[in-house]
Amino acid sequence: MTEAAERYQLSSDAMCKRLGDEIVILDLASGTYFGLNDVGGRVWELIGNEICETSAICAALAEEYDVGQNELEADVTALLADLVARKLIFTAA
Amino acid sequence: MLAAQPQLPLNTGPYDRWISPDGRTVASFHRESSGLRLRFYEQADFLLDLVREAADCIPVPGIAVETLEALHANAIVPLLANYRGGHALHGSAVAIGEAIVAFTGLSRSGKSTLAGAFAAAGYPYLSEDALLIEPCAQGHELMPARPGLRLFADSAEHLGTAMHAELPHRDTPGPLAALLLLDTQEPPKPVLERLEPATALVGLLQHAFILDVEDRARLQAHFGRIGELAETVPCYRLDYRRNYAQLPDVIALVAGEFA
Repeated sequence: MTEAAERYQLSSDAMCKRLGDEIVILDLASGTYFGLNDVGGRVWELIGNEICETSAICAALAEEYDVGQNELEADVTALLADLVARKLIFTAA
Repeated sequence: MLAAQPQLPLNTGPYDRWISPDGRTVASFHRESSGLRLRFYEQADFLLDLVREAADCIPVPGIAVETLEALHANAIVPLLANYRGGHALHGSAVAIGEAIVAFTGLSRSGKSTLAGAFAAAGYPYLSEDALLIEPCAQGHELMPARPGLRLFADSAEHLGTAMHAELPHRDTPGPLAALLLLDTQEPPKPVLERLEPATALVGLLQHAFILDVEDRARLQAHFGRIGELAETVPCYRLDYRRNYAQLPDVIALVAGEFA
């Protein structure tokens, strides 16, 4: 049996605002601000639009950016892990 | 205004506080069955009715009316303005020709002194403690506050107490040309540099009047409004040594940029 892919959702404590190429996130739980660059911001927006699995996020980004598949998957996986560690996103049940 | 009363201990703990740079609690925010109570220590309590969006003042005995008027104008009015969906920031503003330049920053970062120094140099001030900003066809405009500069003794002495009452004040709204966020690194020479909107947003949020930090719907809307402000109004970082001898150079730098 294949293990179900992890799905992510944005923390309800996180407020965000896109400003040009960046997204600014305010985490109400910690009172801390975070900035995401253009690609990181797209990942954030995709999760917000319920494109929540790593593979789906990578597929969407591959259509928008000229980047190799391996590099893209590594970068997205690292970003998702960082966002989870900072409690800005959670793995959905 | 209600009858004066001593400030007795409250039954509820604060859900928010305003803290001065030296660590004192300047004001505390409390929930009550009828609304919110803002306690300005040794000055007054304000009871806020959020349905009427109005406030009643309970002064402490013997407090000057001018102090109460300043609290109302510089705290209650901007808090309610922000609650209603407006833009209200801690700050001062001056007119450089037709351009309005606003300074925002933490308490004791030099906002009022800058307004006074610019006014003494011939640039009328519009406000000295709170910025009320409204959208207009051309972008945003800054609303004038009533005349009056509340300066610390050293600033008042520098500007000259005789001149204090005579400083030019502009009493009409004007187009907001720039928001200058006061930094306190105090470099050897004054620095004025443009901020990216994302950096400006984070900076401006620290200086906004927030009535209820637990009202998430309003916080989200507020976050969006401040972001829009950071995106549409040019924002700068202004830093300089807090030394009165530097003020002419600061005025020349800012006036030269926005004249």
